[in-house]
Order: sequence, then structure tokens, then C-alpha cells
Amino acid sequence: MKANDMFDMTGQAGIVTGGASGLGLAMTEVIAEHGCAVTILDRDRGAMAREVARLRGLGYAVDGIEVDVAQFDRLEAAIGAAAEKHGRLDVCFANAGMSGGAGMFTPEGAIETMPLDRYRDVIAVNQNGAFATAKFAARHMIPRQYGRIVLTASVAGLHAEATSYSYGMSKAAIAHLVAPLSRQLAPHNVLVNAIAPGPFVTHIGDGYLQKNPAAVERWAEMVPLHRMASPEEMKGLALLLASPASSYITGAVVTIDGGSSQMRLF
Amino acid sequence: MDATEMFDLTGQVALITGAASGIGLAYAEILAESGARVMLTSRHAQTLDPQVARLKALGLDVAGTVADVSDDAALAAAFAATVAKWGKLDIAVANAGISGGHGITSPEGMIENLPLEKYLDVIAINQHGVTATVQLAARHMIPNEYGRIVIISSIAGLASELTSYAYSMSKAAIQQLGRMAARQLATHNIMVNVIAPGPVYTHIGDGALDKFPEAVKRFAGIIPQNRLGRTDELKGIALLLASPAASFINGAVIPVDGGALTMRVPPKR
Repeated sequence: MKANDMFDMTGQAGIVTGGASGLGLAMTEVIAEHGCAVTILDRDRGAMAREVARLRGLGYAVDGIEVDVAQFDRLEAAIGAAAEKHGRLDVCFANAGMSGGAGMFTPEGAIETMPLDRYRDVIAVNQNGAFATAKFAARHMIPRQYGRIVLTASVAGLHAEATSYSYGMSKAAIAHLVAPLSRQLAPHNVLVNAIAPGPFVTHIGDGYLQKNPAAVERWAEMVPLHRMASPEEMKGLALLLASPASSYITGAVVTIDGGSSQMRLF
Repeated sequence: MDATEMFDLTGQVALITGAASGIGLAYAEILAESGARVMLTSRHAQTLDPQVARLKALGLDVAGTVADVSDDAALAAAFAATVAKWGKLDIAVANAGISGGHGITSPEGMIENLPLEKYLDVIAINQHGVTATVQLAARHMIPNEYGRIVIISSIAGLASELTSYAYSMSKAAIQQLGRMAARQLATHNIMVNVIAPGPVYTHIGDGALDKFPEAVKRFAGIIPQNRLGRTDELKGIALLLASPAASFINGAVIPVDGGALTMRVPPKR
């Protein structure tokens, strides 16, 4: 079997939450490029309209539905609409996430002073939203006895980085979700894996990285490769886990971090 | 960009140890089909030669060298032959490994009885052989400031399986090798990653799985999908990690086990 056969997704249908920008957009692009019809679920209406138009212009079957993953009833309806349109749902990227805001070394980020409202907002999107996305997607996959669910975790959920508590905790919960979910769904041939990215240059945090070049340099220092990644570098792994080529990979949490997880000790 | 481009290995040169059968042979097939020139190494000419001939007959650009990875000079010669033939080395898959022999359910596998000679034989191939392979690969890749090194471990090195001490310990040790080499070699743009397969149907242990259907059933029982993997199912991950598409994947240990690691308490079957 050649590479282009293994990774062929012609005739399949997928959803990508947070698919209109950053890592989610790279996921959208790569499965669309390999024949999958994609419905982007995103709360940023403007970015979604722009990307859907651009990708359609390139000849890809891409739609968009405006939805906030923290609103479960609307999320369920959006996933149902995407599955109904194509008569199937093969792939789900539960990717939507937000920055936790201030890190643990700032007063707003320190455990004793951080505002709990902000904490709840981040958990609602990053953790509860991803959980609900996987749940609603599984309902459409189980009857057809095929599926690929890919969760976006983070290395910030595997080790104590100086990110916010809410971000790190939500991502740890997502990384753990892979274990029970993959085990329960394996008999239905629905495979569940997580991608744990290290520092990628995206627009997360309302363009924080674009505004703070010093932060980019600080992140780069944590990576043996000494640079942040571009979203394009996510495509190979995303395609593997979304495609038939991953038929024996389930329950894995795959780091894609340039080796930064190996820099914990001197 | 379709998969053929993302994973295109045209013009690249690869060396795979233990490539005459099983998972190593699957890796040789997918890398060669994706455009790489592939040197297959194996201890056994009688299994290596027919496979090299078969792949050549398919039009693939491959060659074979007989080398035991526990023989430093022979392994170095295999690397040298690869570079002499094709001018460089981009990809190395440190795959050669042997079964630990007796599992711990047999008296010979128990720590108090375990013959240390057998233990040392397994460590010599599965651990020292992999270390030597990674070292030689690094030496050839550093001057070119590009490389992909893929180490084949096992979930037996991540969790305590009903298998031999030697096998499990060697597989854990090479995961650490992968993490450390990933950190050190990153500055040379050499990515090092580890695949940890679960039970895959191969000829390991001189065909133990063919001879013992009970063992197959037992292995299947630890997988949520209730089956062993096929060597073909290792191809996607191997190609990803060997290709330019893995440009930010470094130091990862990736289980390909049908979910076995999620099942600390196996289901009743």
C-alpha cells in the first residue's frame, strides 16, 4: 500500500472545532487536501467565512458553522448538521481551545489571586467543550463502526509549564480522556488519540505572540530545536491520526514539541 | 499538497536494521515506495536476500547488507556501504530486536532462574545494537545537518508485560536513548523518535506466534480491539517519522498498540 493510498480520505466527512485558525486550520487543510469533506466549527464568524471561501476557491469541500463549543445544545446541533449533510462522520478534531491568559508567575495567574471566573471560562471551552465534542461525534461514529477522534491536548498538560493553571489543567484532563475513551470505543473501531503540541506560532490569546516577540524568543529557548513551530508542521501528524493509516494507533498521546519535553532537567 | 508530497522521500537514503522480516520489512517497503533508497540489514542472508530481490523486482531502489547489530564492526561497515553506494544518510530505523525467549510465566523467565547469558544476549542486540545504530546514524547525519532517526521499542518497555525481563528492560532503555538523543541532536536538525508497538503478528521468536495459537489469543485479549496488529499498520507512523513532515516531532515515544496501554485491568473475554 502506497503512502497516497494509506492517507486517502476520499468520500469521508470530518469536523474540526476551532478549525478557522492556527492548528485547527492546518488540520482542516490537510484532511481537505486528502479528499475529506470538512465542516469547520468555530466561534469566530469572520475568520471562518474567510477560510471557508478561500478553501472552496481551491476546490475543497469545506463548510463552516458558527458555534461556541461551550454551548452544548448548539454544539450538538452543529455536529448533527455536519453529519447529516454528508450522511456520515468519519473524523472529529476536538481542537477548539483558548489561552488561559496570565501565566503562573504573574499576580493574576498565581493560585492565591487568580480570578475563578476566568478559570471557569477556560475549563468550559478547553475541557468541557472538547469532551462534549468527542461525545457527540462518537454518537455518529458508533453506528457505522468507524471513526477517528483526535483531541488537541498540549505539553502544558503533561508537565508543569509556566502557563496558566486553567490551561494546563484542562489540557491534562484532555490527555487523560484519551485513555477511557479509546478503550470504550475500540470495539466500535473508533480510534481516539491526542496530539500534545509544544510551542506553535498561532493567533492564540488574541495574537499575543505577534505582539510580544520577546515571548517567541523565550519559548524558542525551551525547545532543543531552538524555534517555535509553524502550523504547517502539524499537518503530517494530524493526517496520520485522521486517516486509515492509523488503524492500530489508539489511546496515544503524541507530543509534537521539537523535543521541549526533554528539557525538564539540566 | 497531497500525502505523496508531504511524505515524499525521493532522493533520500535510509538504513533499516532487522529489515528482512516483520516490522522492519514493512518499514523498508513503505520508505522505498515513498522514494527512498533503502539499505536493508539483517543477520540472516537466507531471509534478507530473497526480500531484497523481491523489492528490487518491484522496481524499488534497495540493497541488502548482512550485519549483526551486536557486531560493531559489521554494523559500521553496513553504514559505510550505504554511504559509499548512495552518498549520504538521511534516515535510520533502529529496528533489529529479538524476543526475550521465555516469558515470565515459564520458570526460565523468572528472575531467580533467568539465565544471565540469555539476558546478556538480548541486551546485546536490543539495547547495545540500537545504541550503536543511533551513534553511527548520528555520525553520518551531523555533517549534513539533517536526519530522521526512528527507534523501535515496545509497549513492553512502558508497562510490565508478561514477557521477559531482558526484552522489557532493553525496550525501556532505548526509549530513554531516544529522548536523550532527541535533545542532543536537535541542534543538528536531526529528529529522534521512538515507536512502541504493541502485539503485532510477526515471526519474532522463531515463529513463536505461529506455533502457539494460545499466545496469539492471549495477546489479543490485552487489546481493546481484541486482535493483534498487522505489520502494514506500522507503515503510516514510520513514514511520518522518517519524512520531512515530522519537522517538529522530536523525542516522542508513540505507542502503536491498539489501545493496550489504556487497559491496566484487562477485560474478561
